[in-house]
Amino acid sequence: MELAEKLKLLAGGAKYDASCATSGSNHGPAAEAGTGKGRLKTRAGTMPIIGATAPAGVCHSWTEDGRCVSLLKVLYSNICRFDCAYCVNRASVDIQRISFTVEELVRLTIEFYKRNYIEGLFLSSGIFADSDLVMEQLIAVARRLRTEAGFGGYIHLKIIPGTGPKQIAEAGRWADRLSANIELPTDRSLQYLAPQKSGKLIMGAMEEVAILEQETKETGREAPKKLSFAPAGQSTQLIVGASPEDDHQILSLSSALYRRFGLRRVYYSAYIPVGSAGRGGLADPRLPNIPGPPLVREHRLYQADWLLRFYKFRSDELLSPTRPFLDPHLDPKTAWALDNRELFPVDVQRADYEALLRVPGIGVKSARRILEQRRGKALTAELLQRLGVTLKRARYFISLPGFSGDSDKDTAYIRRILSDADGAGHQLPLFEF
Amino acid sequence: MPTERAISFPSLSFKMEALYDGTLEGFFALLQDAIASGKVPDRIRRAHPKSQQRDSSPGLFSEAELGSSLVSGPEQEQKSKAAMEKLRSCSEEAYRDCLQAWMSEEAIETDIIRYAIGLLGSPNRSTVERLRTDRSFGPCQSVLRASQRFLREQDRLLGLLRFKPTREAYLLARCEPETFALPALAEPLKRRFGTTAWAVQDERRHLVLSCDGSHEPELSAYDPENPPFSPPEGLVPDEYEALWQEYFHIITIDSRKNPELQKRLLPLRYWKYLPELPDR
Repeated sequence: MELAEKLKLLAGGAKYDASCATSGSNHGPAAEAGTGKGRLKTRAGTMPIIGATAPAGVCHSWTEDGRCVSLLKVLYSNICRFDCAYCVNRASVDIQRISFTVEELVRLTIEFYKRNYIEGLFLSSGIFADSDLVMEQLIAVARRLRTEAGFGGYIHLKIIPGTGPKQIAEAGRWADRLSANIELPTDRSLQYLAPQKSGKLIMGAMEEVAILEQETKETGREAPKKLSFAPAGQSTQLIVGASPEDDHQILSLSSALYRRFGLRRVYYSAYIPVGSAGRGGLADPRLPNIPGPPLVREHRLYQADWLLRFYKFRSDELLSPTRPFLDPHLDPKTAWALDNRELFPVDVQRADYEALLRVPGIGVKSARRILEQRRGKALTAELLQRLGVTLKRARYFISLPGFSGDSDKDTAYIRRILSDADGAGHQLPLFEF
Repeated sequence: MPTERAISFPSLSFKMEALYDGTLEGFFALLQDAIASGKVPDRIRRAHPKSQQRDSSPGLFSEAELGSSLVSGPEQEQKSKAAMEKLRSCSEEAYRDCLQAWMSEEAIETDIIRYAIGLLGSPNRSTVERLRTDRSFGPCQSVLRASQRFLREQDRLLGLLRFKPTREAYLLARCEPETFALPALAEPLKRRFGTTAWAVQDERRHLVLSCDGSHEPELSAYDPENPPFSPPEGLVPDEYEALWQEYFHIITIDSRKNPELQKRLLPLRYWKYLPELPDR
């Protein structure tokens, strides 16, 4: 089969994985001096002749669905013996089955990288054989890229469910990031929709990665030239809307994963009905019959996740068993602020960093800038805007001498004004909210 | 009886205007003049840099200009060096912000000079640090905003440059950046390409940044009639460009299509050189 045909099938089979980050790793030719996190030279035993990673990551394009393209995201093979109901590559679907060769993937990655189409490779696979054997093929691609092609760019390897500790350690030796997709928030749903997968095994793989990360950190402190392990850490993905779990269950799980395994990211992927024409044959009766992916719900979960990671919120502050879903019409921070009006208005001239972070319309950057600017100086509304504060939201939650804000307005009024004001239906960026 | 008529004169204001050669050296020489005289020009105009002067009209550098800094040579070099050193020893970050703001090519030279003079006049390092990001200090906001705009374009270009092999065995990318971005791409691209030879051609300014993979990248001007690199013979698009186009097309999820978001994240002005997207 032609390479173009393989690419079409094996990229099409991998595109539903939401992971796209290339951040958190810093190696390449410059790592020679031993300053980079990855220390690729010692890992691979050769100097990279092409490729480096950038700590903040780089986006190389945006597809028509508005998603960033930074990695060549493909399956090694779409041959799979598992029959997960939500998956386009499940065993029961009648599609053409094919695999890349290691050589083809190395060549594609290098040639795409040279042309600056990508930052590196994201490699997953259908489970066509024993887990360790499949994982060995993914590792072979990464190893060959590093050692024979001298590739210093980003590599993300998927951990195949059931992979043993030895293979996980080997994968982390060559990859920047590893990920084991948990896919569904409860073992019950996993049993129902992906009966061949085991939540225990997936969590076990995450734990193994976390242990190896920790060991590497400790060894690195004692002997800085020792091998490093997956310098960009690990991530996972949860499918939203394929099973009955609510946002509270999903966020509680994410929160626990960040805490317990030190995950860098949890990705949320709105369930896309895969049964319709062109998306993998007949619909599986175990799946919900929905007209399209729940994009607003996915967006709100990302916003809430952002609050957990950067705004010092706890998941139980945002949701509870009695209030299990995020408000589709309000960003989670505004929804929280409206539920806690007694904590507002916040005096921006005096409030501490944590209190500022909780004001809708004040982001991490603007909160820091406020702290810098107000030393020995009175803040004004104009200055707040210059510092990046979104006053049209913040005005309901702050007090400032000389500023006639709207913190005295009643909750219903504010809710009406701010509802759907962030354009979530259009998938606005997540940052300053 | 003759009536008394009020006689009014047009208001006369004397504004100091400066013209410089458009180079960084020329700009810092102007800064040094401003530091020495304590006077900041009300308006600063930028002539095209030396590399682009071939089409300039002969009258561009008339002697009528006040405070112009068009005399290149040892004196300008000396002045420029002095101003750079003063600013760097005052604050390395402020020097970087001024440089990036200047490279944004916005007409804010006066603000940059006011900003630099304000910092240089600060009594101690802590005041410098406070003033450096004090957005209530007049010129600070425009300098930091221009610097951010420059960095944003630099980040975008690092992702959006598209390289193709040339007959000279280089990988070549073409672009038309809004800012003077090429010098800032040297380090990250050198790091990315390692021992591979590469070049980036700024088709707006007719400048090329190139690196043979073993030496430091070099920035030089080129004649648009006779560009330094030539496309290879063979198919257009080549095998991997065609594969990339196919890949880009296949990874879109139809049920998530949102072309408005795509255009917001990837402004149309960059599409011209992206083989995966139609030229607008």
